[in-house]
Amino acid sequence: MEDSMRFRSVADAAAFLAGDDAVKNLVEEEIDRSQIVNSLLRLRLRKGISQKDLSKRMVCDSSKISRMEAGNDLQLKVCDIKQYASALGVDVNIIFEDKTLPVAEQIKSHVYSIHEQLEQLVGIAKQVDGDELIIGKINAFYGEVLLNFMLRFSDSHQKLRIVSGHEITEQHAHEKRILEKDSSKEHSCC
Amino acid sequence: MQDEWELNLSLASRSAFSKFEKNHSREYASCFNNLNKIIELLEDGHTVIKLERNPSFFRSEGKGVYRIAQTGVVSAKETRLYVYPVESEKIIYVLGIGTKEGQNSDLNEAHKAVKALKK
Repeated sequence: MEDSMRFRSVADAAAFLAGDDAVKNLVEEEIDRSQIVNSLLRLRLRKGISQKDLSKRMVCDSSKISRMEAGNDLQLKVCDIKQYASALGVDVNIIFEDKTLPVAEQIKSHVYSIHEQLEQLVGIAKQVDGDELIIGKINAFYGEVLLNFMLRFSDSHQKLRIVSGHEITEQHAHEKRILEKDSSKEHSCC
Repeated sequence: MQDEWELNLSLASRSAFSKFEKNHSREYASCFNNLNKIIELLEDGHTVIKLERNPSFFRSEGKGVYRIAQTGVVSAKETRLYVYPVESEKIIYVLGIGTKEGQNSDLNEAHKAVKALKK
């Protein structure tokens, strides 16, 4: 089998068949314009809900669901997105990400957001009224988040130290080895 | 078997696809966009059979051949992209593309290609 006839990218494949590189951009634009539709569809299927069931939950005709999923993002209304997601038990959060902000500010914003969501988990733990199974899972998840964050932070920090000319200390290397050893025993969460 | 799904174009006629794209570029892009959606759903772990008519633009044409329709294109020429997914290998063979008017012959060609592949 010729490798030249095998493609991972749909846009590349479409352009190859059309014999026109410009087609790649056209297909990629279509894909970009369908990100929300795609996410909704994947969500519905992941939850094992049929179009018919979802239409009942949304109190609408199933043809509406079909039209939403067949269209692109430009054809979606915000209220329909929220209704669709809500019918699947999912909240919709709209985040405005200011790309003009310095990276450091963007990182801070993400850290605050993660902290907020972790606090939500604490709230859930309080609500479950001593359910040890759920609290245990939340605790384990906290551990995974911390471990993965520290590993990734440590990895980036090491790269920074190399760039800045500071050699990694033996203590730092030792700490990293311990973290990596622990992570091999845990499931990755992100 | 590779980790990710892959497209195999060895059974597709480049001249036919090229001609179709020149005449119906919006429908062409839409069909491939929908193919991308199917691949993402397969990557999510859904089976080909489960995805049949769900989403509605993905339908079985028998003998393992599926058609992917264009969607969201105003005043579109009804278009079908014919594919043959092989789940055991995570490969989707792209077979052909055509309009509704030509579906009988397009489907005939698609089935022939799959039959030859299976030999």
